[in-house]
Amino acid sequence: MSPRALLRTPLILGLVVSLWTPLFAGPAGPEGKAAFDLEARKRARAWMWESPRRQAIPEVADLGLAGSAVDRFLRHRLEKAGLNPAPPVDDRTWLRRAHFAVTGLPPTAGEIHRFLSDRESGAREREVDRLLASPHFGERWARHWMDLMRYAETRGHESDYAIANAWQYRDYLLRAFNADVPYDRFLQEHLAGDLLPEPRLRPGTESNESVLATGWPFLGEEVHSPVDIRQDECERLDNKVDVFTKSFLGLTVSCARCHDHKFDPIRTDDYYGLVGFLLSSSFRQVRFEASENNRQGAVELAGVRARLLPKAAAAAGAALRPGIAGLSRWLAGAEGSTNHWTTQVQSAATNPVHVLHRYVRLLRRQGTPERSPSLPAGARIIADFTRPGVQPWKADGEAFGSGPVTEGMLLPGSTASEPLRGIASYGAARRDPFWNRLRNSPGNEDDSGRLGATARAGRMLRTPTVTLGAGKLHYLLRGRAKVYAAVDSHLMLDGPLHGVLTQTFDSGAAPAPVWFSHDLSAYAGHRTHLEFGPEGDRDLEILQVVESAETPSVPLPPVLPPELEQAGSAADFASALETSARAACDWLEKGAPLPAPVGIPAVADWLVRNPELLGARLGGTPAATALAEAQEDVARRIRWESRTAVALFDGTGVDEFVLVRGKPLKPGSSAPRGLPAAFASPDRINPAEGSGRLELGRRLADPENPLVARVMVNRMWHHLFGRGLVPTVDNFGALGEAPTHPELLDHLAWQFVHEDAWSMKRMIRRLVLTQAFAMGNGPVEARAREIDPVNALWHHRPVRRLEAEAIRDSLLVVSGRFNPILGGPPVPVFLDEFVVGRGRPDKSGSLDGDGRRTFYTAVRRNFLSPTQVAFDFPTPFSTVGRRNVTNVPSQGLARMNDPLFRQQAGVWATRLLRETPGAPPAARIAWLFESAYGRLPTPEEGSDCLASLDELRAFHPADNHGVEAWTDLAHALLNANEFIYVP
Amino acid sequence: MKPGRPNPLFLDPRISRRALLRRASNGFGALALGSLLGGPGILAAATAGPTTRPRPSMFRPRARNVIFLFMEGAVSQVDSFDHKPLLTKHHGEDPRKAIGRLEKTQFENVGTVMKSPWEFRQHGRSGTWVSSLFPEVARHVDDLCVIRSMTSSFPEHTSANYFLHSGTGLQGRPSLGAWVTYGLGSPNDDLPGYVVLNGGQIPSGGLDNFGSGFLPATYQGSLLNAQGTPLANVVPGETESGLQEAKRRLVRRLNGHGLESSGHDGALESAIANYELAARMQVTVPDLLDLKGESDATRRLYGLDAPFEHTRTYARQCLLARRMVERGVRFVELTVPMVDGYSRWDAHGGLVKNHGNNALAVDQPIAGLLADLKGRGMLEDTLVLWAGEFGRTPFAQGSDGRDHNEYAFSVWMAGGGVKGGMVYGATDDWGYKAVENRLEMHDLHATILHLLGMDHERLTYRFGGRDIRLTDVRGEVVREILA
Repeated sequence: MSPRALLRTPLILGLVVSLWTPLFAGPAGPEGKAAFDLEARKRARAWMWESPRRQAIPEVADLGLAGSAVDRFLRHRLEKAGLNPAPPVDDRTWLRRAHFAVTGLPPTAGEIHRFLSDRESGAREREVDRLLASPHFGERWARHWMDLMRYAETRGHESDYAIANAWQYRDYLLRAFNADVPYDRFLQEHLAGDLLPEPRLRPGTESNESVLATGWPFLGEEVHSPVDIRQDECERLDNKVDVFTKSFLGLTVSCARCHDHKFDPIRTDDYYGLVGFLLSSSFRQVRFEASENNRQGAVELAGVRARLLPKAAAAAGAALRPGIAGLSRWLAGAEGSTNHWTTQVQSAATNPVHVLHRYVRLLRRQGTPERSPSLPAGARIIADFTRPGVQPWKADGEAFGSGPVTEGMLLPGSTASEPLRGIASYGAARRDPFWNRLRNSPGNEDDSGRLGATARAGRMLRTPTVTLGAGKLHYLLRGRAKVYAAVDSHLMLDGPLHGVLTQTFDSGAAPAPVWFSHDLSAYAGHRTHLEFGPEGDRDLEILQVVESAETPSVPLPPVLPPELEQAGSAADFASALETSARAACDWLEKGAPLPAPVGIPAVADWLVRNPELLGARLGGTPAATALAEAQEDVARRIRWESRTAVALFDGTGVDEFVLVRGKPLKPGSSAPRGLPAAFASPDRINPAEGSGRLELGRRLADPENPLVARVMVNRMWHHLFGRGLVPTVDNFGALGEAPTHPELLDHLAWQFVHEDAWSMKRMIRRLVLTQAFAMGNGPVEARAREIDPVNALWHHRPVRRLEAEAIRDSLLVVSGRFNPILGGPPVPVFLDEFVVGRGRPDKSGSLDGDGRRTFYTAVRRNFLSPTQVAFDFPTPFSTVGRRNVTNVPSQGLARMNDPLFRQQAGVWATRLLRETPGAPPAARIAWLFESAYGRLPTPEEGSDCLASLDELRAFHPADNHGVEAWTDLAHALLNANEFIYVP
Repeated sequence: MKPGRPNPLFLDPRISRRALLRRASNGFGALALGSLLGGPGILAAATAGPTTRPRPSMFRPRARNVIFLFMEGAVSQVDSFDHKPLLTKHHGEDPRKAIGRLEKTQFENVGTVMKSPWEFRQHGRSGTWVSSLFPEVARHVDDLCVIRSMTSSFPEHTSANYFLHSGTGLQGRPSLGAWVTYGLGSPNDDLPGYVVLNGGQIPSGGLDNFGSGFLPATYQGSLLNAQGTPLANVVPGETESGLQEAKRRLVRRLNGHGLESSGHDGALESAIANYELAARMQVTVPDLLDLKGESDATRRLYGLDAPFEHTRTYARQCLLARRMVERGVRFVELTVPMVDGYSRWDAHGGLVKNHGNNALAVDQPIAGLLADLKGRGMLEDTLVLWAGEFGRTPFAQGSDGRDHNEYAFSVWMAGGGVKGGMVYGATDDWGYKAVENRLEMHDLHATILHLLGMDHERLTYRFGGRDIRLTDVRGEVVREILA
């Protein structure tokens, strides 16, 4: 048909006009300066902004009321156009088509024969059920999803650093698709799997599945050592928003980074309203295998301690009491002799926080210590753990407990000989030594660069996100802390810049907390939060995080009981100390109730830590033994070892500013977090605490959401039929294409939500079992060529080229080399001399990748498999819901000369000769055809192959068993179109 | 056939539907209409055929081919084409005092003001200043248009490489060569339209610098190694002569049966055509790389006999570039040889050795290429572009290096419709920042497309709901440098 004639066809004209209208006469006008009328814009594409509704299923003449709803919708349109569908394909063609569509693998001869021998009605239904139940289903559909999430295992850019443990996300997808996790749940896990009140556990384990879904934001590119760290953050955020909106909503929102969308009802504040969700969350490596179990363990531990610690305290009080009588006498005699008391007084002389510091100063007539204000004027508190409830408690794992330890709380020991480590005499976030045994599983990957998130996993405490002033930070700490300042959420710490963002601080032997300074003045005005993690088995107490030009002075001495504070001389102090000690014992014997009397925790702490001063022993009491045993009992149920995975960690709520023309240096008004206004959500999501992702997920999964179900149903249709009902699967907006069958799309979306309960397997089953899926490639009637040359109405099913992965997988299945093992670490890419550049892996993978499915081949951004790329494996930079299907000579070269094609031809031929001993050549050719194409050769093809075999044999005179000639023939069959083009 | 919609090469939004109908009477209209109407499925059914056939330009092109000499790592402008006597005068001084406030640099290891270790002289009739780093290229200054006011937006290699190549600092966008091939096609059916001749150094950012991004893979740069096996899978696996042909005969027959039973499916026809092209490339590519037919004079001209190994490598690349342009390859890009480990031109320290050796490798081959192109009358319609990703600081990094500087650098173009013997733009007295006729990357891209006969505002591709341009929403053609 000539192009001129093509254009005369009414259908084409209609399409042209419908595309013309939004493109060139859009509501914004050519200059985009018209007022932004949200409702008018929604009306312009009302079909997508209204919730999907059940549609009346049309009656069609030649189906009557028979046939699936899908077929009747399609047939109705064909009938109206006066077109007939192509006749259906035979069973073998259908089977090969169904296998590739559902599992991405070709049917084996055994599967073909089993299917053909099932003559009962419902054979196709049974076959589809078998395919949906195959674990290879998950590999196929997880890979489709990975195209949306621009999945990769390295960060690209200059050195292609690894994203540690990224493949856990891939295996999460594999299990989720195989388990048919309902899409609304799957979606919520992606947005807030870390926050769901009841996370999904991997069956038979305590491993948290839901949290693994939250790894997707971090699978993009990361730049190491960017000079403009904020600009770099904006690029990363943009990519995440782009992936999010295209994948889940089928909307392109990214252009609203700089200006209101030209045609769609999306404004810049909608864009920045989504950015806020990401800014309110941060990166972590989550101990997903242990987290749920240990959360439960922590509850048990708290119960055990609540029950038994007061008893241990009472026992301690009773044990200490008898020694109090001699206390002032011993104290008076401390100087001049050498005993425990001497040591105490000596250390108290130099330790301003020691209970006896005041005593020593009185004794030596040094005057009483000054109580100077602890923070300099103008200091700003970023986090204060000395009092409870100052800021939200954001801890990853249990190592810091469930909140700050406040003054007067009992600090449990871990053995019967040390039931109490002491009593908190000041408030702080304290590492609980109970959890010191946590460790990452062997083989767990460490982060690239200096980030060290894997080291902090499950033992990290973070501050709220703040905007730095001048950037001079000070931390009041005791113990050893590794601190990461997540300035502008920069992760890829390596190279000359930004090393200062990670620092280790150690108070060493200092008896009291010490101020440490962390100079972030290079980042003045930037957003950050701080993450604290311990190192080794060292203690860690975090009291305050402040920003101040001046370093704060040493902390206040502990508050002492009034009688000690008021003592005017050393002798007065000594006798008052007996009073205080008695009060401390009284308090301990009562089980140390809170709030404690003023100053008593400091005295009690001192006594409990130094029972030998009073000649007492605290260990070994029945209470001590009971506490130690009960804690050990809990410890046995703790899962100490875990692997880690990339995940979101919820921070404090941050709203982004609308950046004028997308420029970080031009912040405008604040954009509250929320779904774009076009979704007519009742209100913006702006919880007082946390990101609000949980609520965002709920709103997206609302059955009334106009886009979520439509977009996903359309993706399934696209994968099964080769073109979506909306061909632009990632863009339903005005610049995308209109649906070819809007009612059908509506109906399917409605069924997906209301009949299938968001089950993707049920929807796929429904679509695969349609007559439309079974339609032939042709012949295309002359009338169809005339009025619908682009097959908008689905009068035939075009031949489809297999995806890159399916081509390689087919080679392996056909040759018999296929290794069906599921899951696990990436299989290294086979690197030829054309895969070059910085960050190239040291070792190449084997040519056949151990026979594993391509799904498991390492996805290193800068070192993708060239053969996969030649067959349109997408560059993982953003959402690609619809891959290119190109025809380039490198594909032909690969089929002719790629070593894997050649190698597998040999494996296949060897298998042929092994499995068909003594068979005549014609039978062997039939065997090869069935294996490669799922069908038997036509007589013509058979004789062509026989003639060719003779010709090929002539090239191998010394080929006794014929394997070389058969290898050549096999290679030719793998080169023919039918191997990669599925009818 | 490309997926995506509408290519304004063919469909100007301002034209009427009537005009569209008129235009559609030629094949290109049909092509574009196919793409207007939908995705690959639709397209495969509607049209078929190779994508790189030459297409009409939007207006009269001045250049038909591009040879891009990519000086990766960043050549120092103040040591090559931007003469700054003030650096000599203030050599050794604190740049914060001499120059004033400094921008942040990659390493923030600022040394003193550093004069160029090379001598500058005026050359040719035009009197263009060139340093002694490039004595051979300097002989051709009357053919060069030196731009001294080029700028970038990224001070790190990877982002800047992506920016130079694709107009964005990100991975995954189509490269200039891909855009050009998409816009113009390529006249040679037996070779790819965009070829990257690998001298040994793959730039920061990897092969994505040469990618087709969201454009169909047809347009991606094909990496051809100047040494060893030139192209993946181009060497037949069969050692027995005639064996591959025998196999292909069977493939052809089987494909013929398949085509018939599919009712002559367009995708299958196209696959057959590409398979045959692949087969031909097994001959044309080795033939292209076989320099036996080149005279000794030509070999000497390029420096194939040079004592320095890397000069010989680059000479081979330059000579191959000419051979490709002769054969109609649309866009040829050359990466630099492994002169100084992985450092390329990135002289953070040891400037004299680094730049000295890099220049030694490329100077004679480039001069040879210019002379050869001119001698064969090919320079007129071949645009030669010499550019790095950014410049270097006029003050030292440490004691003897120079850090990255995105605020100014020098690039040059020759042939293909640019004015020879001219200097465009200027930097401040230090060569630190462009101050006169400051050029942005999008301006350079717009100008290159213009020289090739394409309007950068109309060369678009629909992706993710937007008509995306190489020049984003910016770019001005620099008319002053057009011949």
